[in-house]
Amino acid sequence: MSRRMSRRTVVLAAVVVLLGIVGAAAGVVVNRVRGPEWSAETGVMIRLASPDIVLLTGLTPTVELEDLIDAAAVAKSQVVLARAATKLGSWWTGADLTEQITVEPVGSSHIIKVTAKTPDRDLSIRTADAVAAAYVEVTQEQLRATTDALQTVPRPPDPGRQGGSDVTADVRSRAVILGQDVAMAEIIHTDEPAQTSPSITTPVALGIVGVAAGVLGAVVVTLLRPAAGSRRRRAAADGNGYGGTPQADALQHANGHTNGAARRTDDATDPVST
Amino acid sequence: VTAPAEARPEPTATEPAVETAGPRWAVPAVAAIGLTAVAVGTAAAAALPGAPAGLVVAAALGLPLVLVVGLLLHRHQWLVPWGAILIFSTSAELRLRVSPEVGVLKDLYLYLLVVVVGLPALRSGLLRARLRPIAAPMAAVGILAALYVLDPAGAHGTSWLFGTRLLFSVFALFLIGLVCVRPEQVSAHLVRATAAVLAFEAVFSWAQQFAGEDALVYGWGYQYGAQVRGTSGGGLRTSGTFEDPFQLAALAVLGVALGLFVARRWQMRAVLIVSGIAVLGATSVRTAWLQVAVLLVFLALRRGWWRQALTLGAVGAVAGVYLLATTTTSDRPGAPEVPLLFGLNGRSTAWAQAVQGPLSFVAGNGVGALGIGSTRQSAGVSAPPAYDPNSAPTALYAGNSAFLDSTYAQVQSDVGIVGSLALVAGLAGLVAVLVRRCRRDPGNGAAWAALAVLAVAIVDWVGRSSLASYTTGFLTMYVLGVLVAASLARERPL
Repeated sequence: MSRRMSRRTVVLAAVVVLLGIVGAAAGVVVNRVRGPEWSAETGVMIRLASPDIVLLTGLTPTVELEDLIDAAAVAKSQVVLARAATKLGSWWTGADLTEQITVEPVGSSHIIKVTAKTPDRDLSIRTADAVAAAYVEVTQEQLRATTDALQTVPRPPDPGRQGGSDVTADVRSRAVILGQDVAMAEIIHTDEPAQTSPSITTPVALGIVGVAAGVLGAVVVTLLRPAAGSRRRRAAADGNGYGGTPQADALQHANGHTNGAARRTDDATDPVST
Repeated sequence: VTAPAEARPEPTATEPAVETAGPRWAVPAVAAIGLTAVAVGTAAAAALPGAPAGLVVAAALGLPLVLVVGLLLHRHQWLVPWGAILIFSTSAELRLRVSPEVGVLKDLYLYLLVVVVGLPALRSGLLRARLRPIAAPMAAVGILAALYVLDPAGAHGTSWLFGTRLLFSVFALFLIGLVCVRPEQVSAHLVRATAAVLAFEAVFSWAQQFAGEDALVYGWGYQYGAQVRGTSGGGLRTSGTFEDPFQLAALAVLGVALGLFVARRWQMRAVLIVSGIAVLGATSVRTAWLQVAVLLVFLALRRGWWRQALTLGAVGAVAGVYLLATTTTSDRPGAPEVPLLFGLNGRSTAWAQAVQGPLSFVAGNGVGALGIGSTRQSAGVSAPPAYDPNSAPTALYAGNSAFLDSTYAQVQSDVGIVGSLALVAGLAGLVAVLVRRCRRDPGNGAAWAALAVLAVAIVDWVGRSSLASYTTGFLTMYVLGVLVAASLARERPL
């Protein structure tokens, strides 16, 4: 019996190890298929998120997480990617960069992170830099277009007669300041690119998954086998009228075949607290 | 189902006794350490006049208090459910009214329980004895836990720590419930504690309803979108002392389950069920009503009304599908209205985020990359609930990476398909064990209650990431552990 059990254990262990090896091998294959990949990150600090509020009220709102999410969406837009593509070379298009670029806010900061993944180390740096620079240019141009338009807003004929101050004068003066002196965003740094493929991570991850799948299979096998055994026991027990586990049958024999006796015996085995 | 009188009880293996009295020197040692701590704290206060008074008091009284509470919990384990229900139910309100630091209390209580309940059970062999009948499902859950620790697709950063800590906390609470000494006594006190808290929550949540949302936000200091929410029909959802109405509704469902299956006296049963229904009325959580319907199906099954239960289940399913198909809703403010059946209020979009490619399907995206753990990356999440007149709460909606809104999707995203299969296998195994126990001994109310609580949790996890969550996951898994332990002891309904 124990020999059979040990053989079964050995077989299950072998399957687990085999699945782990298969998983790791699959990871190596994934690395080969994917080819080399480098990842470079450029950080962009968002200095001003809501120029319209500054223009209308003169107050400078703080940059919130929602502003960073909006900024990330703009940085991933085709307007920005198309401009970044022209910086990289004439053979690039914005659509080419869509798959290579991810932009996301960085935790509790005022920074968005532009990540470029390309097959070449230098190209990943240049791509991340180009997208970051394009984002800064586009947002600055949008600000300048707005402020230029506001500077030409005509002065009201006689603000004093209308019972108020010259609001447009305030807006124009803010527009001049914003258009000339304020930077919407600023590139702060580009990290050294990291090689993401081929790397040891994928084979290790898939190896772990393989081992886990093997262990889960072993658990399921051991879960199902006692069920088959209990069916056999139940079928055998139908002949003597007890139909329980061997322990139940033994207990019922020992207690006069009554349920109440069996119940008292079980209760007596319950954990005891003092 | 055979009648209770004809039940054939399944014997359990002899369980080792846990020495809850402790060694003789325990009380003198606690007294000596406590007095020393008070003396040192007083001396520190005298020697350091500039030291913050609160810190000195905490240092002087905190250690003795922890020691005394630990000793009490070890000796009288029926106190454990009182502490658990009270702390888990009130911590959000206390964070708002007293101090944000109160949030640490739940973690301290958990660690204390691990030391005074878990470790003695491990040493005495009680843990092994209680785990033996559910060894296979627990092994599957163990694989899931191992995958979370190894985190094959991700890094071991803040998100991993947060996601893993929550999951291990609920697993630890399940085990603490499972290894309690005298589970029948503990489950009786669990019923009483739940009844007391639920009755209070019913009164408090309806007082909030009568106060109205303006008073709750501007006067009571609650946050709109958190403790105070609106229904799609314009109604008000209140949350009692919890952080949101869904957590309160989860407690109500647990209370109804205990009332239907475990409570022995009709007064207790009435308090639990009436309070539970009152709370569900104040919270207006649709899934909770669905869970109550599941409980009623199990009640019918227990009574032997198989046909009625099947009919009720079928009618409920058809009515649910009809309701989903004919109700339209927006996934987010301003979005076009779509049938609820296809979008599930944006959940289908949220669930789709869990799988982001073949490798993501196999190994996951990494623990905490999406969903619960990822919220730790954003600012303000760890702040206490409070009314801030200058900012509205950030809306979580389908498409937001912090919003997977399903336990199964969460596990799939965290550790991949093997983790998902391990979770499903563990649940299926536990259901099989409990069903077998219910069939053998239909009078085993704790087994029926455990099965019903597990079933409503399985339903809840479809549409919410509530397994590894505070407070729903904490409460559910602790209650489930106690009920499984009580069902193993095969006590009659209390």
